[in-house]
Amino acid sequence: MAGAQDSTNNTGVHNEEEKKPLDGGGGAHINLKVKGQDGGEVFFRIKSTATLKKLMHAYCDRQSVDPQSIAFLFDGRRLRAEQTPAELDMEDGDEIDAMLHQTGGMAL
Amino acid sequence: MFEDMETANKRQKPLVEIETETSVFDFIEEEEDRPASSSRPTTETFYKRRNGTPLPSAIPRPDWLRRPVLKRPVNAIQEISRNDASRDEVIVTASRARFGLQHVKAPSMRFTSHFVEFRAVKGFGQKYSITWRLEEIRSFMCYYVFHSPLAEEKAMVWIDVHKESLPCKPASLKQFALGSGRFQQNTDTYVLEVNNKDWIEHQRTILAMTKKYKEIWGRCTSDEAEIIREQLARSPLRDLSNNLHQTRANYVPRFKAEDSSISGRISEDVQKFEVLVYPRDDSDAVTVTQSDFEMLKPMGFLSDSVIDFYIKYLQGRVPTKKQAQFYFFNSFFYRKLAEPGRNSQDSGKSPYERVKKWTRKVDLFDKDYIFIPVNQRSHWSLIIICHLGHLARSPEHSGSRLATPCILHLDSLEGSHGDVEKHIQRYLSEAWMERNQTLHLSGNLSHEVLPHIQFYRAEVPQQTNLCDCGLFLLHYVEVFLRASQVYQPQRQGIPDFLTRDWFKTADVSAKRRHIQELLLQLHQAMHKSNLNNGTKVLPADEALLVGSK
Repeated sequence: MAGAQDSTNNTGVHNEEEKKPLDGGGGAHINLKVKGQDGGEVFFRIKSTATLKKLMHAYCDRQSVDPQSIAFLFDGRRLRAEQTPAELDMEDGDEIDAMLHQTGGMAL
Repeated sequence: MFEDMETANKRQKPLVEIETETSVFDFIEEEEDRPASSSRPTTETFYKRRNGTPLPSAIPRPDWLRRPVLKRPVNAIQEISRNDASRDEVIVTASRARFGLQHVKAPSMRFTSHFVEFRAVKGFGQKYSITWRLEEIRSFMCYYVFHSPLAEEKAMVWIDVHKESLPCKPASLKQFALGSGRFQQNTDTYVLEVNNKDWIEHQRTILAMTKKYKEIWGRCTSDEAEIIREQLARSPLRDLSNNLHQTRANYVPRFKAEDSSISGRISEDVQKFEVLVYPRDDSDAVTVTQSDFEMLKPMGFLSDSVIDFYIKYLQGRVPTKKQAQFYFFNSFFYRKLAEPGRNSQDSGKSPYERVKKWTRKVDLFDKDYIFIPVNQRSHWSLIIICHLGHLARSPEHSGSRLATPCILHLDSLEGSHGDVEKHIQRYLSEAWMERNQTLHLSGNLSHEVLPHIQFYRAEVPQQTNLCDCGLFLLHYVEVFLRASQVYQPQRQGIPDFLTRDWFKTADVSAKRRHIQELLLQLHQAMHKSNLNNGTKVLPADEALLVGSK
């Protein structure tokens, strides 16, 4: 499964490190792709019953961004740290969008 | 307030260079007791002195110039300007002003078809006036913003005059703000506190006066506006120095004395509010954090979380049986649709492909109204797609008459947001194709092209400042939802309730506080129900929401 992803990676952010399970123990693991607004992609392997908190923090650490400034979306739905891939019906290879929070007040 | 300005003047005195020989400011210094005689310096002699050439005779010298400048008591200025107001000149009086680094009293700015004049009283009772011929002026940069929570009252106007006649390149506002010094060579900066309502009218009249004003009346670039916004938000009049280091170090959001109760209340509330997940137990719940909450303070820019929260709240209030008529995209939809990352594989994908999965459980062509919050370059506006559902229905089937679908753009600061139209139309036509293909419609139908859907810029109430567009967006949604429930769709055109005076702008300003109170209420309820572990105690408002969900 992970081998297939190698070919899709063209941003250089992908390495072996990401494929390490973020959560120990048994259970089904799935591979998830987090896609930033600039198009950069980071791959994660995560137990489907584990919360997304670690994934979010790992992503933000890697990108050196404040977790507060990023919104994670899955098929347009906002993700929260305490949700798990299982309850969101995530499947192997699914893509999560990491988008910068937006504010607005004036026209420029 | 004047006392403050006095002390500020004293403090800043050494910094002020405007009275020295090298200064670009020229003043007509007048003595209080000089008799009003013909020997009194006029604009003409002033120009002679300054440029060595007399004022072109083509420029008529209006009556008011012969009057002793600021000869009357300070309070009379407002009186004068009101009497003088006519179509070929506009006098903007301000309650406070600052120019360069100088704070002044009784400021007023006069715009005529030939020149602009600024008059005021300096700290120690000296009066001065400065005049520019329109030909001399390269541009005005106008930026205005509320600085008071009583938002209807006052606005800050930032006017930059770049003078063309000076030899060196005009410094940009940015350079000015960063203190790169050269600004004094050719740019004068004025910050006026004016009555907001008046200013909007004034600006309209000024622009209508001559073509030249339209040419020089510039809008700030995004960088410049951001810097001005920061500086004005920090402290409108007192600390606007070009020393950024100082102002940044001393940054404390300041409110005027009379607003202290408001600021106190807000900071108290911010402390009470931690985080709210709304609606509870929804997989697509919105998380509103403390910093989102804080953005609801006066002049704050609304964040996407607050926008999405309030839209969800409104959505919850739609009666259950009508829920299916509406669809609400969240605030990230448009960004994802319109802005592919530069080095993304997505850029090859069609915009529709990028957001295809967002609607896999919804049929958009079954909806009456689809709401899309749009954020472009830090500005919120709203797209409403109307009657898309009527496309797929046949007249016989529905029984009722069918309306022609249309796309409405509700923008509280109308400008050039041209690509919204393109993106939405392209999205719809691809969604239509996709839908017909998945429905396995026979041969021709599957490639049926979406009939052209008209795009309208709706004439809706406009914001009078530069910080409220998010609130306007939310108010549009709220009032539209209410109106659409009783609205009978017309066959053609846009809903007739959309007008410039659809609602009062005061309703929008009140929304900041309203949303804060709502958040606090829901926050408290969530806290309580957490404590009671399951036995929910909800305020009436939320009980209603849960019921209709």
